[in-house]
Amino acid sequence: MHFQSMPTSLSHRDSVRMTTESTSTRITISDPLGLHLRVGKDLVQVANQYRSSITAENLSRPSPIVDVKSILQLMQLQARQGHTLRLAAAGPDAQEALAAVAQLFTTMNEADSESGNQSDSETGKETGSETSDEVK
Amino acid sequence: MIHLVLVSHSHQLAEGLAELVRYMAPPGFTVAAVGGVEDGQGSMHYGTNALAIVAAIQANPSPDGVLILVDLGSAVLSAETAVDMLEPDQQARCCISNAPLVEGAIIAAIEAGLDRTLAEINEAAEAVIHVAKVLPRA
Repeated sequence: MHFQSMPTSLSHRDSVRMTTESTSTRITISDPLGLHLRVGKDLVQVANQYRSSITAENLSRPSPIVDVKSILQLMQLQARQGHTLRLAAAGPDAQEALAAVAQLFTTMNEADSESGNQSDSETGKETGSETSDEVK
Repeated sequence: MIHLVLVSHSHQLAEGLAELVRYMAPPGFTVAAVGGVEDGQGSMHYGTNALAIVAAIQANPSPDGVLILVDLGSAVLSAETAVDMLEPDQQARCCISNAPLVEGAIIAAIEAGLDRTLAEINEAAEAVIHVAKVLPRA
């Protein structure tokens, strides 16, 4: 999990009073399942709590720049384990929005790497496993 | 919150999709599955039944509207027949969607949790038609 925050805002602080912040960061998917539907749902719900626009781009395969507030667009990232995404936010609450969305990726990576390390939970065949891999 | 009705020729397909939708949907979201037709002797066959669709709509005649997703072919006709059987005020709150069944259902469940209107939810679900499912590989 690489996390580099690259705030690009505030450079025009003097000229623009009502600043529209913009910021971006890169994250790498470590979840063996990639970016799956369950996480997508959480991302959409969190992203919609912010006024800023939040976009994502898969840098590891040809992908459009998608709106994180749309589940339909998120699915287009087709992000697998090891893929690097560029997340960007622009708007009045860009910093908070980006932090919240990036945090979800971190949580997802941690939660699912744990379950993924228990050998075959990716196939869902493991017995007695309560890991949350029923939806991929 | 809108009510979602899933119409398929297959009982299992409708029920399985409803199960996935419930997993993805916000609390309070209702989904009714209608799939297959009974032959009167307790056996299920593939097909769709307008009366069963009416019952699925009536399961939660939400004032926010009812989105009806269908698999294909005569499911559309059955859904239209079902809506025709409703009272006019209820007809006006029903929308038979052009969206693909699986994608449409998931999108509807998530969008419904974001306080969208029936028209907005249907628009988001139908937008999937114009989006490639498989992208070129790197």
